[in-house]
Amino acid sequence: MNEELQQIFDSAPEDEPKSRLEPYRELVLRWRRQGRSYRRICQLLRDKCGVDITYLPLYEFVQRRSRPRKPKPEPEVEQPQIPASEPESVVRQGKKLTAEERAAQVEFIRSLNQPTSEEQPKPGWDFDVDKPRTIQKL
Amino acid sequence: MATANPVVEMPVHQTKPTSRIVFTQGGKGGVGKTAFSTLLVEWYASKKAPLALIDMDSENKTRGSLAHFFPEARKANIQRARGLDDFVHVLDEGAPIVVADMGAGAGEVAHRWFDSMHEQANSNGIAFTAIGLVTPDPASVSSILAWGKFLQARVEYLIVKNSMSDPADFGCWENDSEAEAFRRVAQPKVISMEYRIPEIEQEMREHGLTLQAVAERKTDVPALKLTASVWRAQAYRRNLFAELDRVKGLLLL
Repeated sequence: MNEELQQIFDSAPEDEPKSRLEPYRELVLRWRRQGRSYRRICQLLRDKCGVDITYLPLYEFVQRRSRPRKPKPEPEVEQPQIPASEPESVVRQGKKLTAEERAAQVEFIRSLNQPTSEEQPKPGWDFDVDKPRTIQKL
Repeated sequence: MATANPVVEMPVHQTKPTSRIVFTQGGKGGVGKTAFSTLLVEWYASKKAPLALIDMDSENKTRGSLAHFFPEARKANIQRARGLDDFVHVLDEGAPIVVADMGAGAGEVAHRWFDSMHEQANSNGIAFTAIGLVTPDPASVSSILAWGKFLQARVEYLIVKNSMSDPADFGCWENDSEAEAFRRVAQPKVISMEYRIPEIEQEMREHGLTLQAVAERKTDVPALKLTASVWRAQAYRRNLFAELDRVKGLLLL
C-alpha cells in the first residue's frame, strides 16, 4: 500500500459498534448459556444495563454472535468493560464493585441456587449373614 | 353501625437476601473450622461464585489460618471494640457472599455484635449462616449449644460432623438431650466431613496448600504428589462438595 493510501486508511475513524448490544455481548451469551429465556434477558438488560431492546433484535444478535467468527486480520479493538457476572478471581479484596456489577453477581449466585432434580441412588445390595436363607427350586 | 374490628393478617414477605455472611462459630479450638472453611471456599470457587474472605483467627497467626491458604483473605482482629464490623466493611465493597473463619473464643465479642447490629444487618438484606463443627469430643457440642443460645433464630445453622477419627463416634451429638432440643428448635442442616488421613492434612497445613492444589497436582511436596494422595484429595473434594450441594440454600442467596 502506498503512503497516500496508508494515510487515508489510518485517518479513517473506527466504525461504531454495529449493535448497541455489542458491549454486552459476553454478558448476553453467558445468560443464554445459563438457559435464560430471551424475554428474561430483555428484562435484565433493561433493568440492569438500561438497554431497551425487544425480543427479535436480541434473538438475531445472539444467533449471529453464537456462530464462530472468522479470524480478523486486524488486531481486535478493546471491548468496553461489562458487568462481571463470573469474575476471573473468585476471592477478591479491596476492589469496590459498582451497583451494576454487584447486581449481576447477586443474580448469578441466585442462579446457582436453583433446585436440582436429585438422582435416585441405585438400590444397594444388602446381605445379612445370620439370616436363614430359603432355597427356591428354579 | 358498630362493626367488629377486622383481624388483619399482614402477609409475610419472604424476600431473598442480597448478601450472606457464612461464618464458623468460634468456640472450641481444634475442631476443624479452618479445614472446613478452606473446603467451603473451594466449593464456592468450583461454582465460580464471587465471594470475599475474612480471617478472624488471631490465634493461628502464621500457619494454619485461612489467610495461610488464601492470601487474598482479609485478616481481621475480632478482639476489639468494633467486634465483627469487618463483616460490614467487606460487604460494603460489594461482595455478595462473605466467608469468615473465626478463631477459638470469639463468643463474647460476637454475642455483643449480634445484639447491637443484627437488626440493622437484617433490614439491609443480609442473611447469616453459622457453621458449627461437631467432633467426637463432647466439648464441641457444648460450644455449639452455647452459641445457639445467644444467636437464636438470627442465623441459619449448618452443622458439620467432622470425622477426626476413624471410626468417629458422634454419640455426644446424636444422643444428648440438649442437642436433641437444639435440633428440634433450630432445625440445623447437618452434613458430614469424612475422615482425612493425618499425613495429608499435616502436609497441606504445613505448606498452606488446598485440596484443589493436591487434586490438580499443583504441588512439589513429595507426599502430596503421590497418586494415592491425589486420588484421595479428589475424593475428599467430591464427597464434601456433594454434601454442600445438599445444603446450598444455606450458602447461596
